[in-house]
Amino acid sequence: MNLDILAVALVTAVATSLIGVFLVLRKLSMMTDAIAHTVLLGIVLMFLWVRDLNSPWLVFGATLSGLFTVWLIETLRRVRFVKEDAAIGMVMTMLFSVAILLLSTRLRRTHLHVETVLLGQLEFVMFERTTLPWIGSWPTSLVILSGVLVANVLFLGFFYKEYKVLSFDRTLAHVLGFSPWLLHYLFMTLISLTSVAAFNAVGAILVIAFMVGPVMSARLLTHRLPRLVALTLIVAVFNTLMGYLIAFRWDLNTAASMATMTLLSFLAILIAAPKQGLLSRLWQHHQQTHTIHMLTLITHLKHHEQDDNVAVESNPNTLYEHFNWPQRKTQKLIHRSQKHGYIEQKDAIIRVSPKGWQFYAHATRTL
Amino acid sequence: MPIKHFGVMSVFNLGFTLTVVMLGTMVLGILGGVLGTLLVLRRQALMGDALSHATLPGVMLAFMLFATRSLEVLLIGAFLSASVAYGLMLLIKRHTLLQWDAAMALMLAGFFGFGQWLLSIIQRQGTAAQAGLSRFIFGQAATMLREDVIRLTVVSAVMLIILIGLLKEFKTAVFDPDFFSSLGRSAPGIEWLLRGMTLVFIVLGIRLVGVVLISALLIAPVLTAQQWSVRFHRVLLLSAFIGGVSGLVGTYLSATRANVPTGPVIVFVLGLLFLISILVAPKEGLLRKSFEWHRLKRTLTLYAPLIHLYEQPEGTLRLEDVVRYEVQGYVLKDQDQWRLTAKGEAKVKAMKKVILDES
Repeated sequence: MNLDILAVALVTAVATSLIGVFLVLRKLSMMTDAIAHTVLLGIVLMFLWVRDLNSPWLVFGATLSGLFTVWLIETLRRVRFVKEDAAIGMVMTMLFSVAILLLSTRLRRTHLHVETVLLGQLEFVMFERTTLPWIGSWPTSLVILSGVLVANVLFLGFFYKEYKVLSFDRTLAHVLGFSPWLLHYLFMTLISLTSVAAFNAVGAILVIAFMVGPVMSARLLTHRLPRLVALTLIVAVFNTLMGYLIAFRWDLNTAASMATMTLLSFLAILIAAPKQGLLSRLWQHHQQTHTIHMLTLITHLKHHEQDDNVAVESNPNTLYEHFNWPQRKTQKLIHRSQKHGYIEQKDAIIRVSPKGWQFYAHATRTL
Repeated sequence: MPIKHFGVMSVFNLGFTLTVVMLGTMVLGILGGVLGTLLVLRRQALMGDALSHATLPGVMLAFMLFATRSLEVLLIGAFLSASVAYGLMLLIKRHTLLQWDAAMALMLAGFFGFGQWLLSIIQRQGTAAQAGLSRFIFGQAATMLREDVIRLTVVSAVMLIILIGLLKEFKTAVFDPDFFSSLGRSAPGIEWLLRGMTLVFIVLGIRLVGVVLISALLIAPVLTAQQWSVRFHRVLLLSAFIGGVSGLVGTYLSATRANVPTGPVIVFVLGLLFLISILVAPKEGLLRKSFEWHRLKRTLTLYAPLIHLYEQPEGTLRLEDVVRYEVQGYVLKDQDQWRLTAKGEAKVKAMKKVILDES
């Protein structure tokens, strides 16, 4: 088991999922998709300049190109009235194609390949090492990612209140005197920086899964922001550990394995989450249908209670004709209501029981 | 064996293979332009991006299950897995409070990661036939065979016929789904048809331009066409034209230079056309705008005193202005007071209108 890989994976997961919380809340997921693709252009251009794959200038250039992407998308939207999604798709593919063209013409003999950029190479992180004063030699990716993680924690900790307001109520943020524009671009710088730092390990596409996946899972479990952050981190760490173990056990691609776990854990939570999960929703829907049907029955019985032809209207065997429902459905409804104790049957006439009246009064009040 | 004389293309003396591939990408470009117009107007421009990434696990699974590189099998796998991803997105949108774009991003990256994971399983088994699979990520038009192009052309032609035949329906459903439903037509039906065709388009196209860039074929021609016109039919035609031309030119450029992948070149050509359109488009183009802006500024510096006189009839004019205006017939002396003529008033009103339009 290689602890370097695991450490890089964990730091990546924590750094990306932390910023992912605010990214998803601010509806910037696809913008991030664009950034993650276009940082390639920054890296390629900077590489043409410095000719060194490990230069910190690469990170700088890539972060700048992420910001350039955001600016381009917003300019296109503002000046040419292009819808945001179309602008994102346009800018992303254009800058990406330029990067690929440069890669395949000018940089064919270097080991900067499209595959590595898109898919990352987590398995090789321990070969690039940096020696730091006092703490010795560490994988370069780990050093960079830890720096980015610290930056993310500090920044989001410091501006927690501002981003909370900005995420949920942009107008209020404006009124309170925060500059939404400045905060937005600061945040975008952070996203850009995080994608750049992470893409060396996990690649430009999978980084989106790490950013968006855990927070979406957590969102299905809670509505409170502090809890959301905590749950997001827990899910992210769980995905990383599981993904790493699977990849290690069967000798598979680690980053892809982590992304697969992200997808699977999200789907599992989507199905089984206590309140917002699909099963729970199905069950709630089911319960509601039953409640409404029983209320319909009680309302009908109440309506005809003092009626002259109560014998006809409240006869359990002919009731389905009055409801114009299938006979089986009506029979089941009567059985269910009897089981709950909401109705009583006497001489082929059904009447609402005291418990039924209570249920009726309660339900009509809360409706 | 290269056949030099093949239809109209023989003028350029292109090889047979290149001609075939060029035809294929052109057809794909035309279809992308038409389909993209509807998608962009429906605000589903990024659909293509998400779905293309989601095809990967299907391709890998099909390869693992059937141990074949037969393109049909792999394409069907791609279609199925993109459909599953789309179904999940719709499920999330309908039953949870999560945002649509987040769902799209997660499915895009999650499915892609899953496909990558499957690929690493295939690679571990070391099957000799794995080599072609990575082509699906980046696309390789040069390896298209005649059969591929024929299939592509036939399927595209069928879809184009459907699109043109139902154009009125698509147009109404895109611009006003409620009105469309009120006519007793099925808006969801049209929606599903559009979704299905987008899926087929992507599955056909990833082999040529790769999963990352396929969405450009759906978006760029439309945005370029929209610089020239706002009329639905014109945008549709122009966008099909731009898509076709880019496919043709891009393939030619990439084939005549070594080591240049086709997809990025096509997208680059699309990008150039977009930039040119932004600059020179007749109404909204930047050149035209800046020209009009300068003309307005010049007019204002020359004729601002006329506006002052219009607002304040008792006002005075400077001598050098008066001389010019009188010669041009904008002002007239009336009892020691310069007054605007009818022509002068018309001039002032015209200028005011331009200023109002600009601001």
